[in-house]
Amino acid sequence: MRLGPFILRRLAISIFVLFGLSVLIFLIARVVPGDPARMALGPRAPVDVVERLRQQMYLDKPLLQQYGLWLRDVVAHGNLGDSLLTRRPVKQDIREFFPATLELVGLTAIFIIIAGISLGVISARYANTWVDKVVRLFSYLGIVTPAFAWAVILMLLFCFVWHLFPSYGRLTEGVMPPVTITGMYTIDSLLNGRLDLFWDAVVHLILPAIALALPPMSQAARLTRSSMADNQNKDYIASMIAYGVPNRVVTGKYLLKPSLISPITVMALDIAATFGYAFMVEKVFGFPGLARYGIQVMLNKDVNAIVGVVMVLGVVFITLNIVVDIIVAYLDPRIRLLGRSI
Amino acid sequence: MSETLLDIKNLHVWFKVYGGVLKVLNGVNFNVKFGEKVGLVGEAGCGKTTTMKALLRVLPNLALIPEGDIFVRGKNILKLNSRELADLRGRGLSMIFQDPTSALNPVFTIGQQLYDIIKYSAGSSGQKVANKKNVALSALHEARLPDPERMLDSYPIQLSGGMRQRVCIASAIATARDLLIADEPTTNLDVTIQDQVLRLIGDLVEKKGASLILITHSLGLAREITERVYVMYAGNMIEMAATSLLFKKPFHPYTQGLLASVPRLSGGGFAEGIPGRIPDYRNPPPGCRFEPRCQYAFEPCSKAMPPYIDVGDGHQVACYLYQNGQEDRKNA
Amino acid sequence: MTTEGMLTSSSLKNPWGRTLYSLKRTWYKFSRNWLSVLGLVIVVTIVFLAVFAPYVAPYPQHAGKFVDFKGKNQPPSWQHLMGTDTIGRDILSRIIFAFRNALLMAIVVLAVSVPLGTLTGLTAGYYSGTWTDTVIMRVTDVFISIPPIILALSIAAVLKPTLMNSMIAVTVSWWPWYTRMTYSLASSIKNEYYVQAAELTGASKIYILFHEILPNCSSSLFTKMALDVGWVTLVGAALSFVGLGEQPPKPALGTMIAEGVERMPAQWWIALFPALAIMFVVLGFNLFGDGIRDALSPEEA
Repeated sequence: MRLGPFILRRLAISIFVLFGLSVLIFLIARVVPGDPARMALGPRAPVDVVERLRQQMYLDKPLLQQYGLWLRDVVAHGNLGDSLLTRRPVKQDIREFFPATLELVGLTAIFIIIAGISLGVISARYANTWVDKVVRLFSYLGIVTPAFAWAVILMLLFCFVWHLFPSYGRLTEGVMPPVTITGMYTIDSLLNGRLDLFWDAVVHLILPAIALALPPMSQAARLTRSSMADNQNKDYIASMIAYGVPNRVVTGKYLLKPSLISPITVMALDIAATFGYAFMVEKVFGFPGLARYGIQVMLNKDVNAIVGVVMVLGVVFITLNIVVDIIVAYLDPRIRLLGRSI
Repeated sequence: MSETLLDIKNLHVWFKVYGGVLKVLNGVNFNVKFGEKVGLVGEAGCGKTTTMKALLRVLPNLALIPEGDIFVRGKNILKLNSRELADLRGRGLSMIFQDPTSALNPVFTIGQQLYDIIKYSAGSSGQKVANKKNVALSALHEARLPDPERMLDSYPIQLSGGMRQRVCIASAIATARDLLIADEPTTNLDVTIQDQVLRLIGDLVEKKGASLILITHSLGLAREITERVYVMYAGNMIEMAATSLLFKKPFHPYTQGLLASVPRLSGGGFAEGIPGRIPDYRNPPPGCRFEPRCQYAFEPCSKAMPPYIDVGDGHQVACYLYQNGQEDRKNA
Repeated sequence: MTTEGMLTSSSLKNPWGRTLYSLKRTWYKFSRNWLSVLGLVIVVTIVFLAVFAPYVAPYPQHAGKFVDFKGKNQPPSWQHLMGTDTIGRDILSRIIFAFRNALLMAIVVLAVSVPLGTLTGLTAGYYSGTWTDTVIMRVTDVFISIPPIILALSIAAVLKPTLMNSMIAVTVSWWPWYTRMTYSLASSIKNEYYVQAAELTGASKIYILFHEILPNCSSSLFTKMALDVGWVTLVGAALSFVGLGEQPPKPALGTMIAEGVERMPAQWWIALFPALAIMFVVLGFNLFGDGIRDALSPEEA
């Protein structure tokens, strides 16, 4: 099938998956030992206050009805309820914290894609020479060190041993953020024409982004390299070489394109996973992002917020999956035309 | 010497694997003149494709060449660097592979692949070849492919096996080379298509005056198309002769066994096979590699590989049975 | 007449001879790469430390309820190779005991998710194209659409924070990946001739699944399991970093890092050593798993 119907099909499946996810997380959040209302108000709040809150949150109704009410709120009004922790609409919390994490993951993704593929190609091009060995060693260390370990190491080195980077927050203390358009300081400061703010925001992002990017980048490099090594022996490469097509063209074009298919798929998974690991790096660097917020609401059994956060993340991941599927379908016509790759 | 396009001398190729070394090629001698059609016949696993890969220098990493030379138009290609190599290949060689599915890059269109092949056909400088599209279209047309315009924008996955093979042939047509290597070009095709493809290859070679190396395990095929045939067994060329001579009077016991094992439509009776198996390349027999299976084996056969013995009319055999000229035939 | 035939050296008639031969050959391929052997050494070390923790750790009592305010926050020294933490406990000993919990979690998680995932994957793969396949895989998709760490966090967050609950959380997020892997392997294997031959001769479905298809997935399965020990440890550490696993005073790698982060940069050792310890575990099992993959992969012709 052509690209159009392919995308539609993916979208339809995704909506189904999103739905299933909402049911799953709703169930989990509700079927929980402990009373969210009680937890929010504290052990000393009077019983009738707690009871009123429970009614407000529909906690006294049957489960199915709760879900239906919640669904109606979300779909019809875009209302995700109020957070018990911050006493604000969850939507507002998300709007404040999500762009920060999005920025962070965005920069991380850029690092992963550029560095991962480049290193992989270099490693394959100079296979079995010292260049390759160095890159492979480095990739290995990258993979086995989790992001938060890198965060600790990088912070020690670049903030305290060599005072090169700040270790806290999104901007230097006391600096006013740019006028909010997207919520992402980097983009907003560019849109505002404030290069100094842009630089400040970037400098605060670099270390956390590197820490998050190192494991997936190394994985991508390895995968690219092995993919290229596998395809190197295929007949179609030998054929190109036999016809005298120069090595740089063969490698850069005919070897690279089919070899990118599996690294890109894995990179997408890793970028999605980065949202999860981001919380640890956010904690280490004191970065006020969605991940940190997410953890806090989870620890406090803030059910509305939990569901809100998970759903937002769910949408992000599904979008990411679709984007990757599209990229892969572009790269590999077999998938686009046949729906499979053999 | 100026007549010779390709000359492989005493080529040894080894593969490093678990448990030792596979000594696949054991001193291969093989040559092709300009405009000549040569066949390379042998059973699966005897080293035919390895020889060709060595010639193209696309052997995998675990292969090494401890001994031997390969001369193409007088130049020893084992000693060239990669740019000189690309230059040489660009002007010299085209190859058709056994499996057309894996011979075409699945993620690029036919057109894209053809354009690049044509572009670099004048050497690695990739000078502007006027009208790549026309060259490609006419090549596709000559290869009897329907709707060449649409073909250029198609992906290999959309074509049938026979069509893919014809695209490969079109690449060869488009680039007018001195040498075409066809490695079992019809093995994976339907019988009905085989004939067409063969005819194409034959025409191509005739028209361009190119040399042809036809690799096959089918004797009938070799007989139809080639002028001269090499028979290969377990890493050695064991017999070589003009095609008609070889089929009329095979000398080497292996060749005789091969010809006897072809079933005949008339005459009744079963065909005979050759007992035994190809040797283990890790521990090949020290002498003639066919010796363990040969019913005529005698004393010198297990000591050393027999040299080429000329038995007249350019017919050469690597067998001790003929070391004193034609007279010394089988002791039976 | 194939290359495979060329490589068989002698006719190994009895099945024990064959098993021994293939074991020896696997070891040979494994040991050729010094990195794989290094991985094996690290894995053995970790297992040894975990099993014999009470006898090997220099201060085993520090892994439980213990305070010594006089000895708190000491940098690495000969008495305390990795220093002490904010209430005077020896970090090295706590790390050794933390390995125990980490390995325990990995074993439990894999013991449940591997059979569950593999069975569902095999079934879905064998019956691919039917509604059994669709149902199983769509359910799996729901779980897979979220990265395991986030799912594990979400689940652990709504349960009471104990070791058992964090294990449950990780298991729930882990099994779908085995389903997917087995599914794609099984659905391509089932088209092989030997499976069709078995079907034709009337073999029961159970037999086909377990004797024809499963063995051909085994090398991928073993590789993934070896690698997963490292990754489960990582996710477990992430959970305890946030406070969702083993509760203090019991030692857990993530908890220790979390405590250490508060004290940066002054008492850097409190965070650094547990971080390095996690690296050590993941490195070891990764090298080992890679070695297994190389050793079990078939020869190329």
